[in-house]
Amino acid sequence: MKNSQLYKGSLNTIIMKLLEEQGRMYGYEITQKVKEITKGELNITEGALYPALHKLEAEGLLDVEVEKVDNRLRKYYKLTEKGTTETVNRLAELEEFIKNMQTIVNPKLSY
Amino acid sequence: MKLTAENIKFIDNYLKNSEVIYYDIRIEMLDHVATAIEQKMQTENLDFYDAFKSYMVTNKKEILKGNKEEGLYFKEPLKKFVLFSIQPIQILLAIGIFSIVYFFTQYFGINDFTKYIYVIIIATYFVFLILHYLLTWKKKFYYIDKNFSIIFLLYQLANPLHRIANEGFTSYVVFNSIVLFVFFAFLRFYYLEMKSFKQKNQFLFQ
Repeated sequence: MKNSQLYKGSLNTIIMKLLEEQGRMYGYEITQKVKEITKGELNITEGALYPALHKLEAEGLLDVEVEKVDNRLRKYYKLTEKGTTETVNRLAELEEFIKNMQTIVNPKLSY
Repeated sequence: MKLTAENIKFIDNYLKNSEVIYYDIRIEMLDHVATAIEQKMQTENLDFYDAFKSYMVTNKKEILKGNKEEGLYFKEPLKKFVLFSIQPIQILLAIGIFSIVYFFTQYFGINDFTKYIYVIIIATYFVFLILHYLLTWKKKFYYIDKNFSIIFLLYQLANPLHRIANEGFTSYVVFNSIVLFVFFAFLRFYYLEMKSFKQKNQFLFQ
């Protein structure tokens, strides 16, 4: 994906959606899952992912579990109760946004 | 292919030397880099050092970006502190402090009371410093530093307001009550935040 700026505003929603489906995930796993789903089109960088995860955690939308895996500590993220509710809202907002973009970009299809 | 404890130590030292000073941020970066390297070793049939070099050539800038962006983010603890300050128990503290400042100012007069207030503030500030030092002398934590950094912001806000304080009895009492309240509320906020951080992240202190 050449213009990753287009995805920037939806990064938190993408993360929340994945966690809703997968239960709990760690950072690297999230980047790989997104790459796999989008067939390599979308690449979430480390510099964007971790600040986003920490912000969602600070807002009380994500909870953290830490486990020792292969000689190191691994931080798993999962949605809190508040996060689960918020995911529904944010997905609805994103769908609305996509619909509006569709209307602007391709008006014929929206009729 | 799994990395050995020695490989993990190598990555950790590399990140430390790249100024990823906060332990809570570093453990996450370390896991990310280690997992990526393990995958590289497997898919490209490389040894650890070649996989590490190859990964860092393309990803170093991006991986270290997380460290820089984190450093600038203090809006969230400040918001948390404001919400904490308006809780009923803090409102009671504010009323108590206001009453003490009011009666003491009436009893001692404006000039005499000032020195007691500043002694209290300086003493409080030293309590913060000692607490902060004790908590971070072995390992530095981003979460702790982020909360502690608000104190400098509060000091910057209090400083210009200080001039207004000596304009009369009312402004003097109001200003000094606010300053004392903010300092004591912050002391409590800092203590509670650190306690919950330690409870929630016991693995970081092992």
